[in-house]
Amino acid sequence: MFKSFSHIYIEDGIRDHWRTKEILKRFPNAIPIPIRHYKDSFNRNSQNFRVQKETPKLILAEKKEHFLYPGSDFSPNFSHPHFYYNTIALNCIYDCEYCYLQGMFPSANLVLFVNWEDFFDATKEFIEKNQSLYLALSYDTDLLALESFFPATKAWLEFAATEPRLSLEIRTKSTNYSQIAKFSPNPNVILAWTISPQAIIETIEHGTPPLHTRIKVINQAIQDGWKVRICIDPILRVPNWKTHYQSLADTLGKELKIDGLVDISIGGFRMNIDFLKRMMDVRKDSSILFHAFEKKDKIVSYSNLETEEILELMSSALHQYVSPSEIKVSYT
Amino acid sequence: MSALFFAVLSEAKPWITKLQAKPISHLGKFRIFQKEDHYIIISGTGKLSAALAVSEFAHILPKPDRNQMKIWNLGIAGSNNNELSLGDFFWIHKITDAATKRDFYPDRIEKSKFTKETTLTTFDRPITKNENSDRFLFLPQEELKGIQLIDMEGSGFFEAASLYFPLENISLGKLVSDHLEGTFCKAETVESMMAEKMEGLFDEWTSPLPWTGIDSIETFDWPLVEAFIQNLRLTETMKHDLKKSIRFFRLRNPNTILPFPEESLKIHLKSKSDLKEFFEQWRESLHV
Ligand code: SF4
Repeated sequence: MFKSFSHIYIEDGIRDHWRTKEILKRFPNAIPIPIRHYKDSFNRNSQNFRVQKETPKLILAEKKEHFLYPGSDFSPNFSHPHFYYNTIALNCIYDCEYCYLQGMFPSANLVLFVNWEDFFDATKEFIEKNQSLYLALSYDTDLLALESFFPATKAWLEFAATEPRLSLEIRTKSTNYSQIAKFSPNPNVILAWTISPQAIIETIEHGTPPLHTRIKVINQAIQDGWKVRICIDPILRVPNWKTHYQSLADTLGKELKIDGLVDISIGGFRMNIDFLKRMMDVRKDSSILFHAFEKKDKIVSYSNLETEEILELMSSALHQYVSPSEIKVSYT
Repeated sequence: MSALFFAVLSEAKPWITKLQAKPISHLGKFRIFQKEDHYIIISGTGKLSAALAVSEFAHILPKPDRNQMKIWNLGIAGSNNNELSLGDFFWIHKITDAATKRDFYPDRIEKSKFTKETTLTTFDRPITKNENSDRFLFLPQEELKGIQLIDMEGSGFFEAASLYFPLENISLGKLVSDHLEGTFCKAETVESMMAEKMEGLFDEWTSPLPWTGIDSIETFDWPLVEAFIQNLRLTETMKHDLKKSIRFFRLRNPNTILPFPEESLKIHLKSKSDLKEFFEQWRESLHV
């Protein structure tokens, strides 16, 4: 099999874009393939997400519309009136078994949009009109994880520094904090790290950094003065889940600079039912997807009882170390 | 399992000989050679023939076989690029159909001894860049700009193959046979060019796809369950849900015997609600 990013599809329209050239420089051995529109490749029927995920390709493209999407009901809005997200990149270098992207996208290849200025303009326009915006930076990827060849997080931090009415949430599992460490902390930016028990990281969140290295960079970010959120979400009912999550809380209590946190957001597994159906088709070897979920409207989740049990366990485990007001339930 | 499509016999000959394949007797129009799990199909020239040959071949195989099958098209191609030498072999990562202007993107997934790749344009007629040729379509240089390789089958083959076979199983490779001088290659030349490249490609073609494998739940567990439920009147939805529960159990308990309800309980299932309760209890026992 080819290694990751052995081939790079490049839309004709952005072939000469300086950012395209910068990205290509990072992959000198990749084979470039000209393409009219990214969807000609990305949206093809009957692609095999799992096979592509073994050898993902890059697709460099221009986003022509939809620079802001209203936040979904599955995601916490942290009580903000204008909660939106954008999609500067599609798909992720990690491979979490519960990731909804594998149910949402027909392809596992990574699309990178290079026309960031259009995203900035659209964001500015929105803020002019609505006076404020809480923006989750690129939900459909882990943007900070791409920073070494797609330094969008840096660019957004620079942009946010010029737009005081913009609040950003940058959610990640990566330990690429060093890439943005030189920036002075912006009080309107929250760096949000999703963490899980190490046993889950190893068996379910394939390719993501280990817990202790995540904690290390989180501590660094807190020490540098950033607002930091911890997301323990989704909490999964794997075998011995109680022990794993209790021990996660204990590890955080011992090793994390808890006082510096904005909050800890917790939530059980939930999913759009159509995404889950497709995920079960492509990922028949993941037991967490075959749980006997409850369906309500178009959402599947653990049963009320199971969800309560999860949230109860997690919050009481955390209460030993964190005040109750700092624990936010992202979804019940 | 693997299948290999050629336009003409001279391209296929070295492969048929090496494989020791024999023609199969079937009702169709196209010549199909077989040795065990490997097939060689001769489509004739042109994209319509290529597409029909793929379709005819696909219909002699059940879908599970098609899903496991490596499906290739190899052949000769003219090149507009003088830097590509005669006899060079290229994998194709993009096909443009010159008539419809549609593009197709074969995925490059498996590594090959042959590392060169390029784009292919499929025309409905043989093309030349020299004027004064009556059997070829003359195209001036500006129309050939950006075109690397030219054939007459690629788009038809790929479009049809992607209807019947998983996209990731399909590959195309082309050998540079001429630089559009407007002459047809001799059969012996084609045969010897192909024979030379075959030496490197044969093992790649016959080796199984690395991503196909058996699903032990479908193969071992589900047949047992089907036998057990055959005289129960489960709805399709119930069967579907049961299969998910079986999968959950097996993934969580790879080495444990699958729990079944007592056989004797079946005779007490008089009503729909009995059946439902029986079914729910079984499923609960699987979600431990
Ligand atoms: S890190 Fe997030 S986006 Fe990436 S695979 Fe995991 S869940 Fe999906």
